[in-house]
Amino acid sequence: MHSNLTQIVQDPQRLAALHELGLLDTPAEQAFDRLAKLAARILHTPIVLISLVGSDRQFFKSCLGLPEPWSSWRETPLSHSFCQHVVASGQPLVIPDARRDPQLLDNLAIRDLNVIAYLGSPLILPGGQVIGSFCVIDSKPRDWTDEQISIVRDLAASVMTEINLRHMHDSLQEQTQAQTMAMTAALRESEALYRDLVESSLDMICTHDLEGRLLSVNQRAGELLGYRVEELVGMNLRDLVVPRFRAQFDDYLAEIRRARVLRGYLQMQTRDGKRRVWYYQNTLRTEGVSVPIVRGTAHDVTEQFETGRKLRESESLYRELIELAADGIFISDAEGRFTEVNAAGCALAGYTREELLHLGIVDMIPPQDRQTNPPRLDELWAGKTIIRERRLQRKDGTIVLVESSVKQLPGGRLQGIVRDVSERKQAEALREGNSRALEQLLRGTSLSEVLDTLVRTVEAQIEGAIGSVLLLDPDGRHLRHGAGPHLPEAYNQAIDGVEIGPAVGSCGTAAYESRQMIVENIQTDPLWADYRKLAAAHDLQACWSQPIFAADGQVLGTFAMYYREPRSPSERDLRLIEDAGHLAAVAIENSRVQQALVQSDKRFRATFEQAAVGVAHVSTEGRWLRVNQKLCDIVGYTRQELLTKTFQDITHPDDLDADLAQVTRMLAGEIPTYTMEKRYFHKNGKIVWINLTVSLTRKSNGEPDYFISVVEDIAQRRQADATRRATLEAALDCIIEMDHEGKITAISAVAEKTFGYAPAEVIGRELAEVLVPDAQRAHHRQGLINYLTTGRHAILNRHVEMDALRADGTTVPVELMVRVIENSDPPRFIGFARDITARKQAEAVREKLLADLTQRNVEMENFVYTISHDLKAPLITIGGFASLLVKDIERNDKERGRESVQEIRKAAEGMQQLIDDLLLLSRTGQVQGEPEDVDLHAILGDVQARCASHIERERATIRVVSPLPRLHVDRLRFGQVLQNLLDNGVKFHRKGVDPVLEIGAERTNGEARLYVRDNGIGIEKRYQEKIFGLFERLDTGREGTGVGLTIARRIVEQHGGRLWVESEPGRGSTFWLSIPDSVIVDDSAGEAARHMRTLR
Amino acid sequence: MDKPANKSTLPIRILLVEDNDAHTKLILRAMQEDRLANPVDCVRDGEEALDYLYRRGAFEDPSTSPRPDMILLDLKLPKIDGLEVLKTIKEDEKLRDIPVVVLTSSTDARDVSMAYRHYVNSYIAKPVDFDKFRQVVQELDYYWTIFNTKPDHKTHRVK
Repeated sequence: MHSNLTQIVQDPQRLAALHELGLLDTPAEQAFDRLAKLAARILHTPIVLISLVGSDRQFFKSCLGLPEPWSSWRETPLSHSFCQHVVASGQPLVIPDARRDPQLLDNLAIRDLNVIAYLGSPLILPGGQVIGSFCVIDSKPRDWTDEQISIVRDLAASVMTEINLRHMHDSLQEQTQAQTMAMTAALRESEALYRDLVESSLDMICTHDLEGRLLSVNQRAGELLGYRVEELVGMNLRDLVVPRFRAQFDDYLAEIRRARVLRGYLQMQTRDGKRRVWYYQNTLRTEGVSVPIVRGTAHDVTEQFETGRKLRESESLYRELIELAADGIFISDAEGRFTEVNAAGCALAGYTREELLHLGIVDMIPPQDRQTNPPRLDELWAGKTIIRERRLQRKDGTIVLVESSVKQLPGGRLQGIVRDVSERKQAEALREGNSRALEQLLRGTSLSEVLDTLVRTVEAQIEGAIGSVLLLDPDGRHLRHGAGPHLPEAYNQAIDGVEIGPAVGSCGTAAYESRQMIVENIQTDPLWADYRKLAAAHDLQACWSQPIFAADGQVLGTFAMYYREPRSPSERDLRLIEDAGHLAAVAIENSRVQQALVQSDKRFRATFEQAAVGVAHVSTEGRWLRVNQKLCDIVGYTRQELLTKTFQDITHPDDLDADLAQVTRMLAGEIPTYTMEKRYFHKNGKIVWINLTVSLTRKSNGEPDYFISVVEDIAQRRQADATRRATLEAALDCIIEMDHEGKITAISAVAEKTFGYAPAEVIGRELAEVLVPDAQRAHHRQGLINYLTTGRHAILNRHVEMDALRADGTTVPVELMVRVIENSDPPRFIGFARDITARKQAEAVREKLLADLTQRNVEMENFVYTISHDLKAPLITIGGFASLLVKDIERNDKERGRESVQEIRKAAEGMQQLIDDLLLLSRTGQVQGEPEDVDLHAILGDVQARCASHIERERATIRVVSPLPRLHVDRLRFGQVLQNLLDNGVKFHRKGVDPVLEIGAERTNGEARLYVRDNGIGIEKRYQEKIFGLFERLDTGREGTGVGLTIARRIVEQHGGRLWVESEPGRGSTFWLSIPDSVIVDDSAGEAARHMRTLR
Repeated sequence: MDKPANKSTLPIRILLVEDNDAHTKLILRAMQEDRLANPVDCVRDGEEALDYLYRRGAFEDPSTSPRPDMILLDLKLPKIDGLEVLKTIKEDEKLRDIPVVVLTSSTDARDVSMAYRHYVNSYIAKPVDFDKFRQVVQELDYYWTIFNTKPDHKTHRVK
């Protein structure tokens, strides 16, 4: 038990957390004391403690009603600590009577602090560490009620809120502290300035204790006495006094103890024995110091003293000494009328000596002080020296703050030594003003008030100054009114919102240039050219402006001083406004942070309460900790009812396990959040479908703290979803929904089938990735971005055709219409797509047909053209010779007549042949016999038989030089080809050379070829293609219509082959016929070889 | 009656490019009927026509292939067709002065326009009626007279 207590109290983590708070050994603070007082008042306990339990003591941040010396020490050892038990247990400790508690009866607090009844609640950091206890204590036994325990718990929570708030503001505070330190340094500097002033008028400063031992001396004192400062420290002042007067030193010490302030002369001896006369003013300090000390300032008046040595005994010397004093010295008669005044006094009061000698003490006191702060003559008459600060009214009516030391002289006369302390007071006022501003800042006072305080503080420092703070807008271009309590309201309004620039008065320029702008005379300074009239209208003549810089160097605004006369700043003035600028920066930045905090807090509250969805904090056990109205509305319970339930209570049993499984995973840290659709029971028993999103808040030590649940009523959405699902299932078109990120959110069953995906496989994937072909993907993505950023679109609301990517990588042509779903924000899109493969195919077929037809038309046109020419030719012949025949008959010229008839007959025969060939040609294009297996040798035999007479006449030889394959072709047509080639070969023989034709087969480049080679006239290269044209003849002298080769080529092409010629004029030609493998039945050479024969 | 006399005083050498023998005979007969005794050289395809004009191959000897004063050109010719021959003539500095009259069975607008595009001097369709044929030949003669008067007079004067 005890070791457990030690273990927890001494836990290094706990102690580190406690130290980190920085609360130990800090002074009492109102924020905490208020809570302590509140507890005392509510619970009627004499003692209330805010106890922070350290490793060896408990420190009281607040202690109310504790007896001395504890109250001053503000701590006790742990031997006197009940609170450590609260720390150990982390639970409230409720002790009605400690003397009866076995655990506590030995605790020394019972004896020493009279702790009998104790009620303490733990102070727990967000991280879970217990740093101490908030406790109430009574010296008599008490029975603590539940309500009292609850109050103490609440107050402990308030203490923690206060502590956490401070902790939360740590960074801010650190910054503030840094700035405060800078300020303090500045203050110290100004204090030093004050000291310097004092020193320069009184020359020496020292402190000594009540024995006269010197504790400190300044450099000047050492110089004047001929010692080094280190030597002087520790010496007794008595030993430095001229021996003759040492006996009187004890009187001095006694007198200063009594009067606390003493002025007079001391005769000192320097190291080398010389005498110096000092006029001193010494003060006894007992407060705020461990031992009483005397602070002394002394002016060396030796020279004057020596000069007036001869008059030493006389009044005049005395007056001289008075006259030489830096302080004003006034001597009055018993009625207070001045009888003597020194020069300093005259200067102080602003009167001449003559004038003063007609006035009295009362005249120096401002009228308003005469009642509230009258001269305390009765005390003076009782022999007291009265030292106080008071206000002195000068002749010109101005007020000077003075410290006066007045005492009665023999004869009822009064002597007043008066010192102007306005400078010191100013420094104090500055410090106080700045401290006030800082306090306001920490208290969260509004920025304008803080700035107001700053302005007033600085105004009090510089006579005639009128302060102004302008704040730079977040746009960094316009200055807004910040503070200007003494500037004319109209002027403040006129410059509110002014745009900064290179010549916009002092402030606009200072903010623009980021540097101090001192304008000594507004009426002549170019910076004020545009604002001169405005300034003049408000009688503003000078303006010094200091930019207010944020910690990062950004300009936050300006701090400016205006004057009603042209004026240049002293160094002190400059320092003052610079410092004010620093402080204003702290205030402004602080205020912005505070505002941000307040805003985020407000936002949170607003989010929580006004959320359109139910929001709740739920304990790790499932209890509703905090619920908003919307959640109450969804489930039909009041807030109070709901807070007594757990989420398990209202969850549908069928959904509970799934939810709890997720909860378990989240508590284990496996998932950061989860979302599910589930059912709650409404208070009326009906089922409510909700969408639940849960996240977990953890304490800073990582332990689960509470869940944040967002509950959305999705009854309507589920209905809509169901409808939509049904639509998507049933739709005949491809329907695809896409969100603003381009992800597929829904897809119809037909679409999945069309694009080759399993149900739901593509949900959540990027549409561009899944359905858009590579080439268009970037374009598609850019289109979406363009729409989202500019609203421009290329394909919305109209039918477009494009290729869509399928799962297997192939594409499918679709007709697509994309629309933006109405009211969707961010926009969602729905696309209707239809597979148009069939249509595309039909279109392709149609286009092919069209192309073919066009081609045929061209051919036909050429054909008709050619035919018309070749048919016309014999008609012309016949017509011509018929006319001639008539003439021949008229002339009875039988010879010519016969000739004409001969020509007519020839033309008619030629025409007959032409028409026959044309018929053959047209049949070649249209009629086709059924392909059959054909032995080429057999066909050749038939052809030779048909051409036998021609062959015979021309004495031609035909040889089959290699085995020919069996082919699967149209027997008749293929025979025609061979016949044409043979005919040609025989016909175009060279004169005097018997035609020899060789027929063979070979395989070249993997292609089966037949050839017919002759030894005829050959064909020039340029005509080798022309001969295949319709009616093309190279030699019109020979028979033929020029149709044969045209027909042959067409037949070969119809069988999938090609026909061409290779030839050398005068040597012969080889006609080549390529045969596609598909029509070759048997290419076996051995078999065919046997058919090789020579025919003649 | 004056015309034949005129013609005989101006013997015009004609190059006839015609593959159809019957048509050649018809043309020659038509000229005889009109007593046009112009010397006519006949070639039977485009290749021969160009060989004749450039005195190549069988036409190397200038005495057998004198420069014609006029060319009658069929369009549908073996080997090199008439339009090609026309084009070659009209693109040749030395030959382009020779008037070329296309005499063809084609009345196809494309042929007509192509011929004129290649600077043919005249385009005459072959009629079936022999009288019309004769008329054409006469027109040719007339045409030629107008066409060649100027250069010929010049020549005479120089001589």
